[in-house]
Amino acid sequence: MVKTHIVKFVGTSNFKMFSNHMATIVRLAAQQQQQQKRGMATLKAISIRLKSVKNIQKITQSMKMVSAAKYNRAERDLKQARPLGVGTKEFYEQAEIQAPPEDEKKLVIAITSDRGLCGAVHTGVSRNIRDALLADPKERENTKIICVGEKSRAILSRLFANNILFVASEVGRKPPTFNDAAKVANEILNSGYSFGSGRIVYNRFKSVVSYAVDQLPLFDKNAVVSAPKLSVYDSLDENVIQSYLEFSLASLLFYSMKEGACSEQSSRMTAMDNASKNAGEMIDKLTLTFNRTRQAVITRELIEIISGAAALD
Amino acid sequence: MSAWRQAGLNYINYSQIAARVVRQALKADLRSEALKRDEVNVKFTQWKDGKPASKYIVFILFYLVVL
Amino acid sequence: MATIARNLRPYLRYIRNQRRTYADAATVSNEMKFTFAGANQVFYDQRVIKQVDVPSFSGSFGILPKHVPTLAVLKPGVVTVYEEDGSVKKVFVSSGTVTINENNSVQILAEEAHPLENLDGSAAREVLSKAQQQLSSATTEQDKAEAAIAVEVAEALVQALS
Repeated sequence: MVKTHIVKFVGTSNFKMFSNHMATIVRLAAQQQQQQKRGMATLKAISIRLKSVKNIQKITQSMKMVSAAKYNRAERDLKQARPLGVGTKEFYEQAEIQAPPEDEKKLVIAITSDRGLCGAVHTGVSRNIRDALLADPKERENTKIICVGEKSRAILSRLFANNILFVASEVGRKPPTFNDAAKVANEILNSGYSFGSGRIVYNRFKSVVSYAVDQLPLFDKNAVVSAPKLSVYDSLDENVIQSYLEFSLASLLFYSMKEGACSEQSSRMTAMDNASKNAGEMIDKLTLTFNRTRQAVITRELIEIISGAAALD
Repeated sequence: MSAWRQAGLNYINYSQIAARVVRQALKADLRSEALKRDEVNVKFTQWKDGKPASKYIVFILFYLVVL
Repeated sequence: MATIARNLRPYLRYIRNQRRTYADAATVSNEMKFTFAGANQVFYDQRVIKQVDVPSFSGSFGILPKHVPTLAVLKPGVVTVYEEDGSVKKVFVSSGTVTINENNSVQILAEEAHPLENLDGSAAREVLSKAQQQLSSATTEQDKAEAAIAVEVAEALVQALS
């Protein structure tokens, strides 16, 4: 039964469906293995299961290879995108811009993607937002959420469906481009939602094996204009600040999407590596059981022959 | 005020158009790689009152009202 | 007495360290920390340079170390960087932002930035004529504005390359 499942999944090569059922399959296989240890395991059943686990391993291995290649590209891209985000953030820090306390309207942007099977990348971002909103009912009322990627939508719409402003999907199949970020930024500007302050929640890539949930601040034009330290900045007019902030929003989004994509690929690589290792362990155990059972069958048949021959004497 | 802002565009739109034009003026061997950055993959679904607002529903309602 | 001295030692060291960092910061701030990146390529990442000229909507201007803090929005045109060793680099930028902070750090962030030698003059002229055609055939206010931007950028390209 497990085998037919797998064949179906491989045959349709439907990635999403496969990812949803993957955990179930592995659990099922493990369960059956236990059951049959207790009862009489037939050679046929074991060999079928062995084959299915081998198939799973092949899939996870190839997924690991794919994400390794994608990760390399994402890391290269990230290096190019980093100054864009860091440079933009530096102005916010240097000018000591603070959210105006009287404007309670807030915006949270969750940067995830459409694809799973990559550890806790997406849940980390969603949990960060969930915790912040659940902790303060007032904040929950005044915050709008923008989900970039279906994964954060799936998690956040369960609790905060009323807070979602819009969802950006089709993220994650290809590396994000500046145009993607610009489109999202444009959509935010055109949504008509005016907010005092906001934040982008994303995964910051640290190394192949680690990433951490981080956030970037967002400010409205009023917050920037009313910042006390802005007076040290020379010859500013409203148009310049507006254009400046519009471009900053796009480049911050671009940077956080790149960080997110890189974390995701590295995390998927590790997840798939672990899955292949686990499958390998299972294959070893199954092979052992298979050989032992085969030996038992041979021994039993020998005993039958010998005792049969002995009875004839 | 710039003419483009009066026409309802913002600096992001400006930047996108400008970047596209610059990419088209690249030398041929660099252009094909750069044109990949023209791609936009994201799609948007607006949400209202805790539900995704489907454009089809709006369409159907619109038709019902008109007809 | 000895115990008092031992107890005080970490604090003294702390004070001394602090003074040293202040001195370091003072020397750094005389130089410009220059970052110049496009979404496609990074040119300078916190490097020290002599001067940079940028085209902006509020007019083209040169930035030297200790420039007064300001913000500006880039206009399509050529950014000229004068490096420490005297060499000059010219990069065409499509659009983006210029930030000069109080701590003497300068950031130029662009959407597309390409060295002039990577651009093709004839392609730029072709783009210009196409954009001009589009401008003349545009009907709605928005189409006109979009075509006008394209013409503006293409003109800047042709001018930079001729």
